[in-house]
Amino acid sequence: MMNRLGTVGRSIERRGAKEAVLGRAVYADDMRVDGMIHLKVVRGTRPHALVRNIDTSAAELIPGVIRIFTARDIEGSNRYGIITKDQEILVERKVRYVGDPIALVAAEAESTAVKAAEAVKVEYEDLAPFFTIEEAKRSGEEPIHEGVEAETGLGILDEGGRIVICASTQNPHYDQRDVAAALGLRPDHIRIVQSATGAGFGGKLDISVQGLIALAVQYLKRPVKLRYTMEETMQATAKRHAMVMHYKTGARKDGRLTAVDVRFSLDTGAYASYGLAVLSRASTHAVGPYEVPHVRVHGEVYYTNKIWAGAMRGFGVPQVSFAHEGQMDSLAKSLGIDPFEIRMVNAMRPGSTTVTGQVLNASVGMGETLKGVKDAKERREGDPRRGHNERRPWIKSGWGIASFFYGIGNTGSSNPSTARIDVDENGQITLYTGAADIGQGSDTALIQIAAEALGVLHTHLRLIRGDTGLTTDAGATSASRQTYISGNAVKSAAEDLIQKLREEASGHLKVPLEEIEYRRGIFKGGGKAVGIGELANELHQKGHKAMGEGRFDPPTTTLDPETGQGIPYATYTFGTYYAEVQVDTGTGEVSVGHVIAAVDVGEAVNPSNVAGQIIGGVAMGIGYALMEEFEPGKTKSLADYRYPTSMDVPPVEVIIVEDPEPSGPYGAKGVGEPALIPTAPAIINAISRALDIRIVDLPAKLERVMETALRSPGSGGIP
Amino acid sequence: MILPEFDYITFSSLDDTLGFLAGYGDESKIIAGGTDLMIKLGHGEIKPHYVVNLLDIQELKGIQVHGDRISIGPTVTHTELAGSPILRKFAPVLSQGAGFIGSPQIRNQGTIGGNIGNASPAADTVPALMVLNSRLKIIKRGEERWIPLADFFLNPHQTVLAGDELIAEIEVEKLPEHTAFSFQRVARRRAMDIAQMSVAVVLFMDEKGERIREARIAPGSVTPRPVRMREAERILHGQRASDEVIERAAAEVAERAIDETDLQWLPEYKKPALRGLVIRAIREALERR
Amino acid sequence: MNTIKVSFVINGKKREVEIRPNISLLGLLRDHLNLTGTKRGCEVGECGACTVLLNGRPVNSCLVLAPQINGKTIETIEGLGTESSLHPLQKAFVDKGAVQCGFCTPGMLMSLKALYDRRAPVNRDDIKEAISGNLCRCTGYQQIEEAGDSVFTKGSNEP
Repeated sequence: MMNRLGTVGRSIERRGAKEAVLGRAVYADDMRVDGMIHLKVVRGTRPHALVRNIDTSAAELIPGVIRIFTARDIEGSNRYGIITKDQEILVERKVRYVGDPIALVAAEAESTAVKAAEAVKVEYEDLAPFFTIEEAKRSGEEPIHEGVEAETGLGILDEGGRIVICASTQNPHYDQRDVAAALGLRPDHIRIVQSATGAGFGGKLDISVQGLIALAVQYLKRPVKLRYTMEETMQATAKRHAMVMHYKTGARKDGRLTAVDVRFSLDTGAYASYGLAVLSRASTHAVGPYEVPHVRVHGEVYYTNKIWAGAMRGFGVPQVSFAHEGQMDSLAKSLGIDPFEIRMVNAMRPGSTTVTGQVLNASVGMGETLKGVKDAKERREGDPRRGHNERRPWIKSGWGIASFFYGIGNTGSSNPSTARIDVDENGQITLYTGAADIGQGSDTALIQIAAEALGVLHTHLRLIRGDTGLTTDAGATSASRQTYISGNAVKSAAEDLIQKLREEASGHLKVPLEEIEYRRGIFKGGGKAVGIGELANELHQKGHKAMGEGRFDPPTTTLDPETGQGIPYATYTFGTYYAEVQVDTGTGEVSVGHVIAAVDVGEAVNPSNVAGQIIGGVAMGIGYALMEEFEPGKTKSLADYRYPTSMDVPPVEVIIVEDPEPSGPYGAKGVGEPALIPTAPAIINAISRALDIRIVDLPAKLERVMETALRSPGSGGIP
Repeated sequence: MILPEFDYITFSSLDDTLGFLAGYGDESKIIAGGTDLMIKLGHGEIKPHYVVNLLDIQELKGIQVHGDRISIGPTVTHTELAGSPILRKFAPVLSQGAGFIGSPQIRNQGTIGGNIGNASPAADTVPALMVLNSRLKIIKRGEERWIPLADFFLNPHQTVLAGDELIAEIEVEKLPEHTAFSFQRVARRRAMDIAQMSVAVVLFMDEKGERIREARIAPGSVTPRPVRMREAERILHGQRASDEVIERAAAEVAERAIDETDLQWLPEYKKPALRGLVIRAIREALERR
Repeated sequence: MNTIKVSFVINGKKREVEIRPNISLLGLLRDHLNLTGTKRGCEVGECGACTVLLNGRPVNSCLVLAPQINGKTIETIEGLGTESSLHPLQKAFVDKGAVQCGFCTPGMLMSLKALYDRRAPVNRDDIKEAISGNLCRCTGYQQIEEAGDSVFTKGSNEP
């Protein structure tokens, strides 16, 4: 294990928590500027159609309407997209899903903008819509992962004529590049500042309000605001990929897997977004955290005329883990092997080879998480409250486990992060990072890593983040990558700073460089000492900066397009979850009674925040397993779309396993998406055990559970 | 949310309110808690010229006992219903039903008059009111009339209330203390959710507590208009509460809920689930006797 | 459309405004009074991000018609505590890791404040129920409940 560390590994107070509890955190909707113009998007009402005419004449007559934009006003490419640039800021010719943006209204008041948007008349020529995957697939539409804060942004023109946009986003530097290209502007003419962001879970990676706001500011040269309503968020922002999966698993009598054959199709909706990346990740994760000698995976992505699917917490892995963990339990049952045992037998360990041919050398805590959960479960066995409910025999109890692994960082591609640490002439140390904190805690983790690397108190560090005018690109807050990748960049920046100051100290103390020692902000040599502040001041006097720069790109390789072989991720997080359920076979209601969640995170930079992510992931997984279902056109508001309340989430026992990753900052990996992944599989496995029938569709909502219960042997509802 | 334009009208006198509604009722909407009305206004579903506030009117508040009946003001909130010592003692099926509605925030705002007036088939107070033989006092300027609760509803979200009328009072039977009862409900999650189905049950037992003297059963969310399940109640009358009898009564409720309306209203799930729910309710009521 | 004079007490201060009536309490707070601590979430009473106390009880301010607050008392997050003097609940939220993205936080705190002000013993189930109308997508509620627990088991809210 690690030597005792100063800041990393301690649950220090979260950056921004004080502002939040005082109601002073400034989200984009909280920003106001005098004379602010309100924007409203006019959205298409057809799934697949040519736009023949846009009649804005009636809308323009409404007093208070300033201008109505269409694609004709866009000077650049009018194309953006996180991988494939197939999306338009405003559609030119064709709408491809109900909700595609057609026009943008700018008005003095929000109510005027809404009225005017309703008065815009659009003529369509309908084309045949494609919902083919929709008919073929067995699972329903996939859940939404949105925070409670809808996409919002405020745009102004600064004194230098630069368009500045404060927006709720997960990747400000990407926003800057794509918005500039789409509108035909130079990137340095746009500055994106990440406002306090009310969560994202992947939904705020695609461009949403940013391009529209920039367009309005570009023309109107006045402050503008655009806020999506919750209904717009439901209709017009990315969803999780619906997947249909076919698995064939072969094993020996002792439970050892011999071969797995996977075929799956993804519905990516109207636009590509992250579709290819999700396909890629789902493929590399398809068989789960197990050693399998023979693997074949075939995946396809389809476009359909529905809202597009994008990056949603887990990125394909929640879906495939639901499948592979169901398989493991089915196998266990057929072979008469305990579910823990069958996973233990096949679990990856140091020295294992993945399906892409990568040898895992270190930080493979899979076995530890299984063992941790098993021990915790056995401690619960003595609890008298558990056990068959005598007076209510129609309540069936069950428990289930599920294991997973998750590769940290973008699949098989370069995704570097950069960071800077600067000391000003007064000795104030500032960490500059482009990493967007959307509530997952990267601000705090990166400050802790910087403090640890510099050996100074974290309270002495200032943080500037997510502002393309001040920070450098850290890559997106996605793929659970910020702690590992930006953490390394930050650590590297700290080391670079120390090295530069060491040289300065050598000159200052008149001692050879090799004799300079650094500890806790002080450089010592030749019996003398000088602090960071003083050295920084000297450098500034000379007209220099006291700044360290760092960069880290995980050592990966691309995957061979034929064989899929390569090194897609530098490190993986592992975990096992356990869930207890009670199924009311009279009504189909499922109650989750207890969850044990064990995750190998390498090193928990901030244990309290890691636990918070895990518990949050469990709650989200309960929703995914039991109640969340999105049907385009039907699911319109939060009244239709159900997310777990406090009453739906049982006590969660968190087990943080630390199997340090040598290439990680102080051994850390990542937890953001891992936190969610095994929850639904564990719950479904528990329900399947309770009813003795496998459930293969999500969500296991009332109707589905009831229908399964009625087929279930030895139950048949009420005795 | 953008609300349409309207004139806001408020009186502290019931007479003044009725006077206004007599003249302008057809262009008005009344507001008490506002939890339903605000959503309709925000979605542009309604565009009244006037919104008339009821919360300043004293006569519409309060819960009182009058002999063998309890009278409840229409602007009593669900929180007040759930916490009322009178109801908890003498009509607990209602206080329990109200406690399931929405969230603490919604319960603090929403009123029983609003719940009835909105006439959603999923209204959580209605099944309880049905088994309490509830009556409504409807008033307009110069007139008042009493109607049984069941006669108030025409169709989902449609009632007999005219534009110049108000619900002035909700009257329910005062049950003997410790009467066996149950209110059961199925939703997709454990808070802040509309009922997929619900059922209110009251059982009057014989002196020995062995036979059911009288049963009252009213489901919720499964019929377009609220009903009492008389056939199922008859199955239980005079019977010992055996598993077989309970199941027969429950099956009858599920069958009748189908008969009351066509199958489109009741997805395939609801029939077996309703049966399961009614069994659960009757059993819980019996545990309380 | 008429304009309405509305008098109320907000965070201990008397205020009177004259407003057009077609505005929610949430709109009044955020847009007229510039109190942006209360958040705009779903606007249909389903998320609780807009929770404030009206005469001491939590309500969804997005569903309260502003003129109806005449003669009443409003408490919002801005009145809960200050940086130098945090309310015990605010301090507990910070200490127990109950804040992640922070968007639900003001609403959560107000729901718990109502419980706190009852000056009666409170258990874990009461806490869970008190926040059952406040959705959080980040925390899974546990650390929020533990924050509440830490305050209420101390009995620091009891007289």
